[in-house]
Amino acid sequence: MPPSHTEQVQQLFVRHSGLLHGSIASQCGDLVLAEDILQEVFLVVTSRADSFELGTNFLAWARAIARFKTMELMRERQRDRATLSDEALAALEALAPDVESWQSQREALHRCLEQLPPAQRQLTALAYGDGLTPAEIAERSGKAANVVHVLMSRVRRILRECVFARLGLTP
Amino acid sequence: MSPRDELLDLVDRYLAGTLSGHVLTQFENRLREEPAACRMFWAALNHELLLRQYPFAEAAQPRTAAAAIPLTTPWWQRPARRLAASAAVLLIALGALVLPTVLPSSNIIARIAMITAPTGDAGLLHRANQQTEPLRADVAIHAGDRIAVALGATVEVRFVHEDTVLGLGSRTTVRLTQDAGGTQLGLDSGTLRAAVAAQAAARQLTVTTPQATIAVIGTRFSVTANDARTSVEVDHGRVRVSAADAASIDLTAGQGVVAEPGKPLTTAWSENLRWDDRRPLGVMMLCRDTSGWATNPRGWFGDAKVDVTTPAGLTAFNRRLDTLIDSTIANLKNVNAQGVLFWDLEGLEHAPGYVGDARLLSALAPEMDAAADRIIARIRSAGFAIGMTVRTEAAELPAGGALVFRRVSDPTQQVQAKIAYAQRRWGATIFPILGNGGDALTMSAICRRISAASPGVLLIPTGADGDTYRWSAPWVNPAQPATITIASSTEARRGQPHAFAVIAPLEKAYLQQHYADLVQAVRAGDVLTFRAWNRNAEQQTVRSIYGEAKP
Repeated sequence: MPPSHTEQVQQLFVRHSGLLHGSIASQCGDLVLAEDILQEVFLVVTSRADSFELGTNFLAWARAIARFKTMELMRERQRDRATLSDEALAALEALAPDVESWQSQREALHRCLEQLPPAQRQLTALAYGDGLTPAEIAERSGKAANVVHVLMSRVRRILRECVFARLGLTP
Repeated sequence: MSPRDELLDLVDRYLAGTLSGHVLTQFENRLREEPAACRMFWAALNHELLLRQYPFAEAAQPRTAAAAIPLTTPWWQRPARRLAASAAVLLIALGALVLPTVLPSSNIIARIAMITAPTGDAGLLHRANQQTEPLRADVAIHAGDRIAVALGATVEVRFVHEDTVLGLGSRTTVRLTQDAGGTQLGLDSGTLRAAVAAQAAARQLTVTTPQATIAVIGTRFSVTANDARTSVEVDHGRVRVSAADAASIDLTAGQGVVAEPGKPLTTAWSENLRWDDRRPLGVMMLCRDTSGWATNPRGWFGDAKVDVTTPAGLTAFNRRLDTLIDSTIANLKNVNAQGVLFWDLEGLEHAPGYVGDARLLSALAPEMDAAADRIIARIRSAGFAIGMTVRTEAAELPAGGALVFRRVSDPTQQVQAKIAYAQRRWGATIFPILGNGGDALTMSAICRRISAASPGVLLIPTGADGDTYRWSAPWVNPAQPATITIASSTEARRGQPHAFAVIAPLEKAYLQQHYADLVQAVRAGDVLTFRAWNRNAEQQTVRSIYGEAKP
């Protein structure tokens, strides 16, 4: 049985969820809060799936929903965090990435992680894959927390520069 | 610290919530004024997000089930998620404990690379050894295993020994087997999209459905199957589809076929045009062609006094441009337009005419390259879609020479690259296509291929043939009938209810003389355009025609 209209819209959401997560994070300035908002957006997208015409611009439609949901939730939670002005957000939105560039960056990250020495890769996996804090990694590895912190910063910089170089974002 | 490193530091601090006051203001100014800063912002932000989603365990050393580290932590599986999602993840984890799987690693075909399951239930993996377990990321797929994707979930499967990726849709059931002849995918039901790596000699990937067998050498395609029918669409490369009665048909990019019992296989092109917004479109033509003006070689505003060669002149140019954009936005609002088509953003310094390649903006019109992101962002912020002309020929500017248009062997690729640039840089969604396919391709074929590769865009070919309506909304100038006339859209709608034409800006006299015909055309779905950069009488008439056309 072919997927229903709502299922197709949900699949589109899934395909674009990374980009939507980014849009929300740019607006609220908080990656963790953005995850929560993304889930709320999924619920709204599902409930309003009927109003989306397949074949039209899903990302624009979902970003509009995400924008309003973010404003609403930030208001509800009375967030006092400083966020970007509407003008700055508009400038960002005009150059917001699409699925292709997201996939290119994912591929670049994959290649760069492959190039990392095993120890640096393991450190990255513990921090990002397992979500461990430097203190937790220090406890596991027997290193001092500040040493782990420095190592993490260094690996993070190496990785980011490698990805940016592959994307042509060189200094 | 370099400006670039400073910017990255600002992005990090913004996302850490430690940016405020004048530093935040400085950050905002850079984002507003430097497109490169915006691109850097997105790259840095996406880097963080991608790292958080990266399947680190995929390439990790073999390990026991007890020591396994969850590899992908999609958003619905992270801590403090919604109760339903957490419960579902718990079920998956319990399933993994209750149903330990001990399988040899020698016949691993693929791994589950990514799972998306908004409801929490990704589906089941039926092992060849009769065991069943919940679908989990990083799990190995062995020959003979059957994957059953749950309702609402999607699963990405990556092959271990080749760069082949399968995307399995909601409610898809597929069995993977392998022998000396290659890999076989038995698709019982659901949707499978595949990007297949070039296969080694004498090996082939085949997809078998209840109605057909699809043989693949190396390509991208999708298959949807159920008990009654199988449909196949090819994005790239070539596949051979064989029906149960042994009849077979070869499909190339953009082609599709439906296999049903008792019916012959017939090739069908997928019709992709779906653009429901039929409000008018503004047109921006900013230049006078080949003006020869020393200080304004691109002919901006048709004004010889414009000077883009001095700092003071550039300041005045930008001020005037901003005023013109103010006026444009007001006019678009007044006519209730859906968007605006930029026709000559690259300027009109050279004789061949409209360039249709925004990638050359910095070389052809540096003053506009510096301003384009700003003005387009303003138009988009006001709620209007952006259109950008693209040309089928390659525009080339030899050193010290004049611009030339050169026919290319693959006009589709040429247009596609230009579209991708305008999409990435400005979020453009509407693309008037200038030129034609020459001997290489018809405009229909170009539009068909582009619409398959870039769904969700509106193509407006200016040199169209009647068949083009299936994938685009041709540009029609009823005042100067060329290739096709306005009557062609009426004809096209007989077979395709969604077909429509985009009608070139018309003079007031023509609008008034053919008022009733245009009301009828708009009522039937055609789209009118108008000159958007200044206030003119035609705008009011267009508005009036739309008002009259309302049911």
